[in-house]
Amino acid sequence: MDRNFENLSQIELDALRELGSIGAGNAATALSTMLSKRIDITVPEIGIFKVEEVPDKIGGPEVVRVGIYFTITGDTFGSMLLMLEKDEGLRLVKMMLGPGFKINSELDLISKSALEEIANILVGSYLSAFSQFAKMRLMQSTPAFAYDMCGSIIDMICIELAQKTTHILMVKTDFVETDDKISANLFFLPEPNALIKLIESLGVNKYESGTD
Amino acid sequence: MGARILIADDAIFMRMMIKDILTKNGYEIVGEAGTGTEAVLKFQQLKPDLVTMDIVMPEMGGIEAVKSIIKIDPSANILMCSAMGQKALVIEAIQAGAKDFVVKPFQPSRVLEAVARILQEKKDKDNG
Repeated sequence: MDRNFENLSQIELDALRELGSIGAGNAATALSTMLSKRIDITVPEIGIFKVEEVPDKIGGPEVVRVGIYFTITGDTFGSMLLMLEKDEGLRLVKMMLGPGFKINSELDLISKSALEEIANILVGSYLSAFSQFAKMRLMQSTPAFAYDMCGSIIDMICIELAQKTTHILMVKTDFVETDDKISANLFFLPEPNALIKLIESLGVNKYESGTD
Repeated sequence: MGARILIADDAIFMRMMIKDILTKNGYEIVGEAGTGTEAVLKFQQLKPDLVTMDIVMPEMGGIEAVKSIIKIDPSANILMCSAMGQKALVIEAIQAGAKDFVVKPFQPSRVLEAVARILQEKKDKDNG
């Protein structure tokens, strides 16, 4: 049988969700160390959506957000995307750079660079936990920054994916910093071809026959 | 007979992994829980020798569950197994009464060492 997104078993989906959870937990630890603040994460949501449904799932096609995204290559491939509101992003930058640093109310070069660095560290620690758990070698690209409508951000990421598939698997985790009310969404969007390899690598099937 | 262990983790896959590691090494898995609430209930019913506890779970999180379990039995043995390795959270879990903390992703040996050490400490306490 041709394996694709639509015929993943419950346990396979569960394993992918756990992968997201482990990645996000480690990413939260890195962010927490960097900011000296406690960062909470939500239980990851996993879903399979048609490519055209994705902007809705990410907040609505016309909602404007900061998006920082990465291409993942190596033993599995896909994209990682960090999205957050501009004002929350600026508060995060302020937190990182310290109270002595004057922050513009708009996204200037320094704020963009700081947000890219935050995303870099989040995605880096997510992927390093991911690669340890899935025993895979993974590489991340340099960050690409966008301040645009969700629909446009997603289009940029999905153009390549959409040529290969009609459906997208999305693992979403929210990071929350309570004191300054900052929350950010992190998305992992694997390419369909990479998915089967990923599931094999996790060794899901060795458990499937032995369940009670 | 091996020690009786309860596994609390919202991911079935992770429960199976932990179960696999522990049963292969002679431990008996007496129950599994997918939420903190379920973990507390099953702890009361099954009175396991040790509980492995995730932190981020639906309904009730792992740290809350540790607090509830310690209220029921102050000598309960709980091993945290979570990807949330932040210092503040580790300290909070230990203060709540957890005996050790393993950060995911883990090597099987790390889980086995922690389980063995906690159970040995319990044995020493019981004997003396």
